[in-house]
Amino acid sequence: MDEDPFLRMSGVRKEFPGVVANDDVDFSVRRGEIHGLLGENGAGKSTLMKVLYGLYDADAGSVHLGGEPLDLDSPQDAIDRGIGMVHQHFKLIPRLSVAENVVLGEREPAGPFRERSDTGSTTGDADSWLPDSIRHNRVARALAERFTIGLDASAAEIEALADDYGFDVDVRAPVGELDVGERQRVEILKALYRDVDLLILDEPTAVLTPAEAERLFETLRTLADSGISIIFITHKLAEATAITDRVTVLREGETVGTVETGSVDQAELARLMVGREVLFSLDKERVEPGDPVLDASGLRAEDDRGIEALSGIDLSVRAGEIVGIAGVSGNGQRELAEALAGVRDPTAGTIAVDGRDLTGEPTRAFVDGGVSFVPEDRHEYGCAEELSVMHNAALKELRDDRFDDGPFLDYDELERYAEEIVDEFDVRGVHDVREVPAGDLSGGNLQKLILGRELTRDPDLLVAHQPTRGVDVGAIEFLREAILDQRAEGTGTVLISEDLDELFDLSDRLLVIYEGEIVHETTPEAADRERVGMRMTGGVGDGGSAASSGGADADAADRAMTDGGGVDADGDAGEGPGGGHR
Amino acid sequence: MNLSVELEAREDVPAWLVYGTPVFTVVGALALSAVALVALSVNPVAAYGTMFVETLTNPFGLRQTATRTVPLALTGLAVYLPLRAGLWNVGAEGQLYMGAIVGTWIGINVSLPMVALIPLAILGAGVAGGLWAGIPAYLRAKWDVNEIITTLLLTFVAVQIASYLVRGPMQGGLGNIPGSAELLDAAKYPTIPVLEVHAGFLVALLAVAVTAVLVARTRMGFEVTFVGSNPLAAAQAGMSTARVYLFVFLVGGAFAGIGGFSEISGVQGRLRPAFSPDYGFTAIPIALLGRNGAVRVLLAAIFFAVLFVGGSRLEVSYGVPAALIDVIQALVILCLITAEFFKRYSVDVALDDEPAAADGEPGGAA
Repeated sequence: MDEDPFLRMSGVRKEFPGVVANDDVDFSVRRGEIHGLLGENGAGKSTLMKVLYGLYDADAGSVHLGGEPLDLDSPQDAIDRGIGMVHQHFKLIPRLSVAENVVLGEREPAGPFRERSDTGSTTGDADSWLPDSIRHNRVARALAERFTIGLDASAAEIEALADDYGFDVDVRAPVGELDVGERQRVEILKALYRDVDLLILDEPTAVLTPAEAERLFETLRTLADSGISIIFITHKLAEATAITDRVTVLREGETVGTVETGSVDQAELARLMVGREVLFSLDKERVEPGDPVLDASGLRAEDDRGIEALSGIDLSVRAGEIVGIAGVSGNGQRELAEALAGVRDPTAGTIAVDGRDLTGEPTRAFVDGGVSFVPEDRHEYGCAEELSVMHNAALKELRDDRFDDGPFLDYDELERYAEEIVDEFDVRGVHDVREVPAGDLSGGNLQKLILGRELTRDPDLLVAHQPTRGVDVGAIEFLREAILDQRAEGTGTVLISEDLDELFDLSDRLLVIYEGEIVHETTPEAADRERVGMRMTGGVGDGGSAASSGGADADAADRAMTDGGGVDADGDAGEGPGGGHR
Repeated sequence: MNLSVELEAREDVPAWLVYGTPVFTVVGALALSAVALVALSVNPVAAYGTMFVETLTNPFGLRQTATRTVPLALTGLAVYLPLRAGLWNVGAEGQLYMGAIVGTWIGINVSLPMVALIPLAILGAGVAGGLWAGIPAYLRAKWDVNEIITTLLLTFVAVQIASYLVRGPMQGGLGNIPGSAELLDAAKYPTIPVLEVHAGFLVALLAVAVTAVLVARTRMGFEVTFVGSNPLAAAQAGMSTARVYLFVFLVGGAFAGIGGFSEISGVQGRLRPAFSPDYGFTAIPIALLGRNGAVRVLLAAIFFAVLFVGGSRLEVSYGVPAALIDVIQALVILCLITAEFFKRYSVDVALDDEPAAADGEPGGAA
């Protein structure tokens, strides 16, 4: 690794109306290193990278790449200078093949017009039927580059490229048939094809399963070893420590510092990121579970395309109990959450809340019957972005008579109610609940607003689907504590998550869902992470019935909870008397 | 030399832009229309003077404007309410016709004193307009049929029904000229003293007030607004989108129907084929201009009424074709769409003298 910075950004400032997104940020990356860019949502990571990628013009500051000043007007300039970016949302065309997607946007002219490739691999030159005089004519070439597009000839070349970096992907397969991890590799391949020296990955693991993430890390390591510098944007501490060489932390638009990853631990990084100590171990009081608040049996449901996504789920939750549902996304979690919240009609089975059969009732009966729901996609289902915080805060309690004002709705009372939630749940960035649209809140604050709305109703049952996804560390801590506090109030919770740490920290019981069925049941104290992970992906653990080891002795479990913490990705901490069932 | 235009998505929209949009829109449309006026060798300043100042400074012009405002405001509300819930009612014209038909029938055939007959006719017209709008609403709520298509097509059906009725079952009084018999005197709106405008004007103001209160003060209005903003989140919270869709169309259609009867009762005296100069279609730009509140819908309706009245004045004084008014209306809509664009993006135009970078030639446009 080279000690001199390959990329140096210094004094970068970018201001938007009313916000300074980047304030005098210094950032440098060495050749061949994996450099983490860590910060809470809204810390200015994305803005900084958009400046680097030519999407934004910085108001001040300079950028040097390989010793030369860099002045970019567009992402095309960035690509020309060897900078590639893999966005969180993939920019791929499902119907085209991998190879076609990789070539797309490169503006290669159609085969007959193509120059002989430098790399010597076969690209069309041999079989061109055009005379050289036309092929090399400048006007003809310029026209060909504008108006023809060659998506055909490169499959072999791209296959070779994929092989070079050990990518296992069928370059002739349509992208639509690939899974998320493979699609991401195609995105990386796209960048490699354009000869990047610097690759930016924007929260690449957000869409991946743990196993896929592991694979991505290996890939990145290979790339770095071959001399490519990698900027890895994340707000997950475990990833930052697992993969990066150095980490730069941003907070509120400013550089907090750059550290060698080996010299710090996660707690230190968290402190840098949030600006205060972060409690990793949650104080989970013992709560004696009460009567069942949810009784679902034989639940079946279809997804939006009419394909069965839930194949007979039995689930019961008691008051004051958190039941965690682990699983890789797409195994029926969304349908389960929606069925339990009354949003999706099950095709078979029954749902009873607090002893009342609500099967087939409209959503409203669920809402009024004490079911609260935190949907997975807070923008699409959780709120109306263009309406005020007040509108969104009052959404579920609207029908309560406290908001009656004769025949009218008492907007002053709605405002008070919203302010209460904003205060109690520490929703920041709201100076006036009637004026600020919910869409202006950052992810974490919006999620606090939504959870606040759902919990302030003091529900019998809370269905929380990925309540902390894409939210920064400070907010995660707050949200988890809020869920635990509500548990102490006697709310039964179904917690659906892909984050095993979260499930192990919060759950009283842990179920694993796979292909629409519950395939494993255990408790966090008795669980074996590896086995849970195996079950999530359809593997069968080594015998042993579910929910075994009734003897998971509570004291030991508590001890493990408080001194272990469990944020470790490798997971030997959170297990407590782990493996004791064997 | 190189002209570079940069578009940047706005992070937030400045308040002056939000509130100024309708004004800029109107000013922009008038400025563009001035080009057409100049092409017709008419001084635009004088022409606009005639159109607006004269219309609004003499009592006759004001009365005419108020009269025209009635159907425009009522159909404007018929488009506005569904728009609040995220739906497009482009068939206010048809609802207007259905209201006119039923209202006229009652006004001809029911013998009652005025205090009972007019409310009855208004009720009948409202029910007819509401039911006519209810068909697309039901199809949308139940089967997710696109309401833009159904409302538009049902308009042609309604216009043809009226056309048939005044030549057939409802024809009367005019010999061979198509048209219904004249309304009973008890079914004709009285004139409001002092203002000297027919009482339909009060009905329109009342409808605006009712709509304003409905949207801003009631639970239903909250639900309408929420469904309009995010139907998925609304459904998740237990609101019935179907109920909201039916509600906005039934109420909106009722307003349009009352607008139809008001035009017959207050102005025409009898139902004729094609009695409406596209009030129900003009209602669409009215609702778009006034989409932030019922009172703004009223203001937009008044503006378009001035265009109607001032336009015919223009035609008389300067020999300008009446089609120019259609041009101005169309330009208002175009400017409105343009304004939406500027609300979303800020544009930076820079002129730099540097020659275009050499290497940027082929790929630069990508």
